[in-house]
Amino acid sequence: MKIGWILVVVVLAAITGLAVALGYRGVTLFSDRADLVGPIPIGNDPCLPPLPPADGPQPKVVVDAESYDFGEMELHSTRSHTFVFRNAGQFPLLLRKGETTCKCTLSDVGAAEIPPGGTRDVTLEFKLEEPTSTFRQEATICTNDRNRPKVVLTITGKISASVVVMPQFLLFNKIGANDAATKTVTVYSTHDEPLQLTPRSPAEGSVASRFQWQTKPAPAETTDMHLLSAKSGVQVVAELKPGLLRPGNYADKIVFDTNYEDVPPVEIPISIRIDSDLTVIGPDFRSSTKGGRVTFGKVDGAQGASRQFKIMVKGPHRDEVDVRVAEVVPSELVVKIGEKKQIGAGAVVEIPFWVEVPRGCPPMTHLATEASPAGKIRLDTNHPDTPQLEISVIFAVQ
Amino acid sequence: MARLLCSIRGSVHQLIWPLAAALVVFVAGCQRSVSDPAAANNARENAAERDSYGGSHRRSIDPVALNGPIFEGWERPKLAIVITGEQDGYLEPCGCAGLDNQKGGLGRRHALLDELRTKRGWPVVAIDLGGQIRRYGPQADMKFRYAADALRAMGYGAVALGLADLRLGADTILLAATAPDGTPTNFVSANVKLAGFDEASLPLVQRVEVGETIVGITSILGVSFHPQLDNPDVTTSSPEDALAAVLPQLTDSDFRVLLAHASREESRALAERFTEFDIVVTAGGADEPPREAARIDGTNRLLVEIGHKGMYAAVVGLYDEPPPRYQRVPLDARFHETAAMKKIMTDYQAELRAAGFDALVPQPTPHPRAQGAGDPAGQFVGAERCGKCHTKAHATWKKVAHSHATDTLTKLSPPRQFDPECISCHATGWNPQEYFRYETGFESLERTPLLAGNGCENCHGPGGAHATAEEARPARDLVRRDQLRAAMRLTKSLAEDQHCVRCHDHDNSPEFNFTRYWPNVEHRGMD
Repeated sequence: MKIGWILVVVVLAAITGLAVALGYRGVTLFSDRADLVGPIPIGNDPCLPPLPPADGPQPKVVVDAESYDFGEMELHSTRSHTFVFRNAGQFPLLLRKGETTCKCTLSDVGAAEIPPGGTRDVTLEFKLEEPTSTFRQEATICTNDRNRPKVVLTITGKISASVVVMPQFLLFNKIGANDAATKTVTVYSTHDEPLQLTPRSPAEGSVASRFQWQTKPAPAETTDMHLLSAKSGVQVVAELKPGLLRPGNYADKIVFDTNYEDVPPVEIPISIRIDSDLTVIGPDFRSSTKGGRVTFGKVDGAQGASRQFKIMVKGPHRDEVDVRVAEVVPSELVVKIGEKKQIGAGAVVEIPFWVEVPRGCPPMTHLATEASPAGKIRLDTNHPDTPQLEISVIFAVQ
Repeated sequence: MARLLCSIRGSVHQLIWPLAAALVVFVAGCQRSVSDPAAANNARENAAERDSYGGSHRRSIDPVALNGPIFEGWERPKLAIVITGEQDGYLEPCGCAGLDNQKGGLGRRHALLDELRTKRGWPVVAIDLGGQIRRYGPQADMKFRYAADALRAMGYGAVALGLADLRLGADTILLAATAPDGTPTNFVSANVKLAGFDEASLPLVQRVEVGETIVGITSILGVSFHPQLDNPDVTTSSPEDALAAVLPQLTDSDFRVLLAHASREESRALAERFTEFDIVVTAGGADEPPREAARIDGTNRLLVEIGHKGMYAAVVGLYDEPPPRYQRVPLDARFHETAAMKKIMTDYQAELRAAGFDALVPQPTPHPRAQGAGDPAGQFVGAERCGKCHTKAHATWKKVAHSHATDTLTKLSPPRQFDPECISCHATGWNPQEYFRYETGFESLERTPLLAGNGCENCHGPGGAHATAEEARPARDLVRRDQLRAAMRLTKSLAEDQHCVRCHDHDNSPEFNFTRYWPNVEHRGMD
């Protein structure tokens, strides 16, 4: 019995040793060489069906056409095309669905073999979702034809939109809270019947409801009309009165119905950035609607570092604005406010301030990471729309 | 002998099944041993990168088998021109899930350049068509800056300005285009002027010398794109006039490239008129670039498309004897994010964190179900509140990735929970496609921990009013209660047609299959 166990252990050890040796050499027991048949697909691509023996009859895949142009497609519409696969070889042809570059739907290619001379339809259905001017997408069919293991089907086309908005957005970038602002976009139509737009009332309290909206026919002969091959257009004028929105970023959209039955409503995105009447400028300072951020980088503690910034105040309250230091983190940072002065013939008031990493500051890091949050300065003001400015300070003292 | 055989037979009988199991395990292990050391290394690096992006549960994919080999049969060219562009804001591969089967990202782009320059020893000129961003707002501003920094770090010789880039303020573009160390900018445009820019800030041409070869590059914004421009800081001139004016500056170049932000038709017309350009890169191409570049008028001059979302690069190899060689390079998992680009992405996420959602995204808006600001019908309350009554549904939710979607972001390197474009699907109470917060939606893990995860209310709508109506004792206004119940119901067909794809879109969830995924999340009724 004991001898039996010993022999069993020896056999096991031999098998183990062989397996390790093979693994070390990087050899697989089921080879991935193309001349062997087996249940494991070729190479590292699970899409590829197994090949027939190399010295026997072979399948041969032929496709009626490997690309198809859909021409013009409306956004969000769905079209499909059927490609015909034929086996021009002497061995059964296998097809498998591979990857697609889009959310296309490939019809089932069937598990059954295509006999020599047989055909199979493969339908590719495509829904145009991305608002791109032209599109090209690919779908791969894997085969057991060793000369053509992959067939790439390509569909192309252009987006057709009978009604387009130019420019595509109503962008109000960096306007003051007390500034009026007006923007115009034009909606063009290629229909024979002149375009008419009817606005849908924006929801009460929404950003879009803060605008006054006007529409008027676009001039008949313009470069843009010609470029877009448009036959008519309507200008949409958006007027934002001052003081309706506080500093910050806003987004919304305005929707218009058209006089065309087959055209969906026209949605025009609105993006607004309202800057405070108070803006901070200075070296390595990046302003934001809340205040901004300054990067000192590495500071030699023995030397310290100081930067001067300016708060530029415009608007009706500029002469009365006062600023005071409300919070400084870490407390080692020193912040001083200077005397304000009028510039630009009084249109703007400038309030200087300094941020200092003092000489002798102990080593510390405030790098805006989880482990070392940025330093923070809060300046309180008496401006009705901007009661405070928050400034992040990125620095490390060595 | 008979006793020996008997002894062996007895032992083997006892061990037959464990032996068989051990043999299968060993063989399977050997089978997984990769015969190609490079592929083994690739697998290890992909695993590390998946940890970086949290895609560890995806199937393993061989990018070379999937997307094809590159540079087959190429000898070392005299010069390799690497062309990229139309990043469209995708600084990293489309989405952050399942990196193995997605393409793009600045990190992989840098890896390609590194491979060509360092491993293959090719002389390389890198040029970019522009189009770093697609959206607008503070985060787009930030992306543009970081993209510009990245292109500078990668040694790009010329960068054009795309249409979306030109929506930015001149000050934002100037800040991004200016190198901190004072080296000349690599931006270029022949027919776009920015307020406050002189020719040093935005040159008409760029000349890049590599060895003895000079490559001259310029760019234009085509007339076909002018209607889309709306920026008082930007003025444009005729592309044809501008090109005629700048060509004398390129006469000493051995090779000339035009970066054309124009329709394909306009780009081709310019290519046919200005035969001095050896390569014309057009922004009027399709989302997937063709496998071969088009020849202009049957010559060796090329019309190149590079596709959208920065998924591909195009490499043109120049040799002493024409024609040039062309390779469409998928920026797939065979390339691994470089340390330099990871640092830039880390800094980007850190700046997003420092800025905070309020500074990055539009002001919170009422959910469409609300009748205005402050309406309880638009109030988000969190999945735990739902689970008080809907215990089975809550238990189902807890088992799937939706419940720890925010947690997934915190574990990435760098963490992504401060990025609006990530949190909009990885938390509760955000618009997933427009990246803004609804009123009472997720703010942070500290302030709104109950809204972590992709919770019930992302599909069923805000549950505040419904929960309040159900919890009222005694029940009040039964009609209203029933209306709220009806509003919270979600059918399978609505889920399939409208809801799931808002997060599981092709960019972020390329393998999403509703039929396959639905059984994991399906839940019916109250309990």
